[in-house]
Amino acid sequence: MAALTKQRQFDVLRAVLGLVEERGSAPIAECVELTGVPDDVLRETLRAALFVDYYTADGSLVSESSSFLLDERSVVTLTASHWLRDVAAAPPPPDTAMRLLVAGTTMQAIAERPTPDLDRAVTKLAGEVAVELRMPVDVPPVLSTLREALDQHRSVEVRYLSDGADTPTERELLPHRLWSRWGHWYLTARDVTRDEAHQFRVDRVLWAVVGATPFDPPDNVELPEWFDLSAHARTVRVRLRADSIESLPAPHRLGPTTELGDGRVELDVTVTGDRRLDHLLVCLPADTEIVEPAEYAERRRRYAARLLERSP
Amino acid sequence: MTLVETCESSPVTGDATPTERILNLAAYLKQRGNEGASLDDIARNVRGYDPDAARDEQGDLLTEGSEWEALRRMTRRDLQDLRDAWGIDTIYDEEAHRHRLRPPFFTTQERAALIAAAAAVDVEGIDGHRGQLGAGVDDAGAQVVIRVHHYVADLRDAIQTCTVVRFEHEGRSRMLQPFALGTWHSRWYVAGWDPELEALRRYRLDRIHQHGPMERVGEPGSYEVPDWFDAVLAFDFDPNAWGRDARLRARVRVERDHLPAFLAELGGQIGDEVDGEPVVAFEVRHYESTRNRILFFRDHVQVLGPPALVALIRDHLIALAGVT
Repeated sequence: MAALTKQRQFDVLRAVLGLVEERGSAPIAECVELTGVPDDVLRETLRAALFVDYYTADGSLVSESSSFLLDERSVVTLTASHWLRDVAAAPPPPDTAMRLLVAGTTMQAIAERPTPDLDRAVTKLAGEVAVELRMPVDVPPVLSTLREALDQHRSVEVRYLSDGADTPTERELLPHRLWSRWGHWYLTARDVTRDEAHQFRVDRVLWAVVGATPFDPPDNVELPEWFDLSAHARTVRVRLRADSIESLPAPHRLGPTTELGDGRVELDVTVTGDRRLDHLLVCLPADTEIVEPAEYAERRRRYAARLLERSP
Repeated sequence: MTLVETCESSPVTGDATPTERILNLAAYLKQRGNEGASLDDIARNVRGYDPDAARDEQGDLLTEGSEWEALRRMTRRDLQDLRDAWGIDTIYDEEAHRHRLRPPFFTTQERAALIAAAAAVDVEGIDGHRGQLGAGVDDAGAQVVIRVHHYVADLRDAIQTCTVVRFEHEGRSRMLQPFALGTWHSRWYVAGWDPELEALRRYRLDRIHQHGPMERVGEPGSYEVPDWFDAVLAFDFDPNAWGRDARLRARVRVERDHLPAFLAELGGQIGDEVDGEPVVAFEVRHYESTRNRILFFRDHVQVLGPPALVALIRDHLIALAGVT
């Protein structure tokens, strides 16, 4: 195997030392996979960073080799900070700066304690990215109670209002993981009366208190990549004024629009579930023509009548 | 911990690969701190340079001749490599003829905080490049996943360089001087000035349909973000604020269990109570949007006033139900 070029050696060292700093340690096999260089070449390349030494003014030999170790288990470990990064004066490249800025800004929003180091780092990144970035992150009020239950490996008693439900239910949940995706916080948890874990939207938890039931949460909790709601999709084809589209209740999905030439457009509107379908139907302006399914016109009339009856 | 790779001290005069020499130089300059290092210091003390370069009777490095020139060039190349490969930059003091490291961009603590943030927040859509800060974290345990639209990086570059862009948005060609990026309900938007419409505009990125990168129009630096531009206002999508109907002050009684969802949807301030349930008050600027959002809560809310808003909702339902 030919020796690596100097630039390639730097690339390999940057990758390995970065990985080790950010994970605490890394097996050499993982470093091989990351860098794509064979084991023996990688070990040889790492020696360059092990044999860093020089004389000081008083003639004593100083070695920086203790900054990382390759141990007998073939694990690379940093024993101190990553000194090469410690002296890096250049800001991260633009895309990296943007990624760190998004992560840092989000972290600031969800942190429960002051974050002075992060605040300074984010300020530096913002100056570097030079882009005004507005990223509001909602933090539901019960989040800290759920975190507390998770940390203590205890159940949590909640009052939960499911999507579209009229009345909330009281449940005791065994929390497995707290996470946020698609702009919402979720709790993966098992109801003590059920066998399987489910995802609960944290903003629908009306009230929460750490419970009395201790338990061992599972080690690996897989997060869903997405929720398959296609079975609940409801589509209605309508003709309505083009300017009414912006007032349609969210969330919805719009199909291709056909202009009818009289200021109206024809298009498909898709929502998820019967509750949102009913809501969509009564939100359409009164002069909206329901093209299909035809029975949705009657469904709309009946739902509007029911709301009218119930209104005080 | 036992070292398998032995770290026997190599003599400074010993051979070193270019990579070792350059890392030795970085370590040496770090150790020298503000004092810095002359070319002579580097030659004497850093393994991989020539400690036997020609010197005068006092032992000082001769600053002329082929050996000095070779040493100077090697050092210059190595400093360039440190800058390019590691972001480690130096300042050369012309008077003292000494090289010093520039201060680091992040402190160790700041870097650690960013690494922790990168581990807790998985940013999808902007790839982490191998070796770059935050790219090596294990994000399997990330608490938050933020999806960044693929035009964000493109627009960031346009904003940073003040370059006008053109794109297709909902079937229309738009020209924009992009000022800022922002999110609302997990959707990414760009706000800026449309020179053709002569108006401030914001566009949802997932409604931009473009093949490949956005078209750049004109040269970088062709505009400046005006002082009057307010990013907070630009991304204020609150429907209570952006409508153009005559302003109303709504008062709605909300069942307590539905209050968090109602406030998340319509905002407003909690005031007095009616029949033991809280009353929420908020500004209305867009009647149709407000009516629609209130209807979602069915009979769990009751619009108390003003009469115009009560009538608006009631008349709409009467029209749909076909009753008189």
